[in-house]
Amino acid sequence: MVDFAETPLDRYLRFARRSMFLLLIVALTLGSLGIGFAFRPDDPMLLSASRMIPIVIAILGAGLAGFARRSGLRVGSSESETALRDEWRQTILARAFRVAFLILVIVQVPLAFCFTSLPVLRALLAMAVSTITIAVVTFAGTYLVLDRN
Amino acid sequence: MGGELKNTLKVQRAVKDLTQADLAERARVTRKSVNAIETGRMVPSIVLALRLAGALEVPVETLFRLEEDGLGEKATVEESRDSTGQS
Repeated sequence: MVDFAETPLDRYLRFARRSMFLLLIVALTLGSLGIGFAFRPDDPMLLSASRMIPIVIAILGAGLAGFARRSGLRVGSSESETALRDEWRQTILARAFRVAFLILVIVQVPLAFCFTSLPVLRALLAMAVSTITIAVVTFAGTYLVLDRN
Repeated sequence: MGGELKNTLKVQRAVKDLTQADLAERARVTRKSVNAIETGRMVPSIVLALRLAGALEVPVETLFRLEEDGLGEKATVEESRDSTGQS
């Protein structure tokens, strides 16, 4: 097994990957809650879960910030600049955007059929939430898959 | 208009006895970028190509070449004819 010494740049890339994973989890959670509300607006379990969401996001964000502090990552450092301007990162971001856009266009009609049983306002809410969720999840998921090597 | 970009990054790296991480550090990119270029998954920009060539101390033409259906071969034959003075 080859042992690579971890450079500050590697740590920054790991941080970026974790942030994207966090975005994926938060988008999935919020999306599920939003769609849940559209179908069952008075569900007590959903209501209590929605109260917990800001706390969970704050804990996850604090965890990520703690990781950045422990790793000695600073905004504006040469490593962060290198990572941000890295061409492979730009390429996979562009690919992830394209995939997310394509999926978003394709799922619009099937999604509309999913919400035909709902009243107009709630169907609109469900469409909006599901569209945003699918876009963010597809984008973050594609990025993570392409960035795995 | 097509053509595939071929590179000799791996060979040049081996000549200089550099790892992907070493080359990435010299060229101020990530190791993933070097790996993606080396395996042909990404076509670098002119700036990055020049930076990699500079880091490996070779001309950019040594590092990258465009392979088009027979065109590369034709160009090489014509160049060698010119240099030997054949018509």
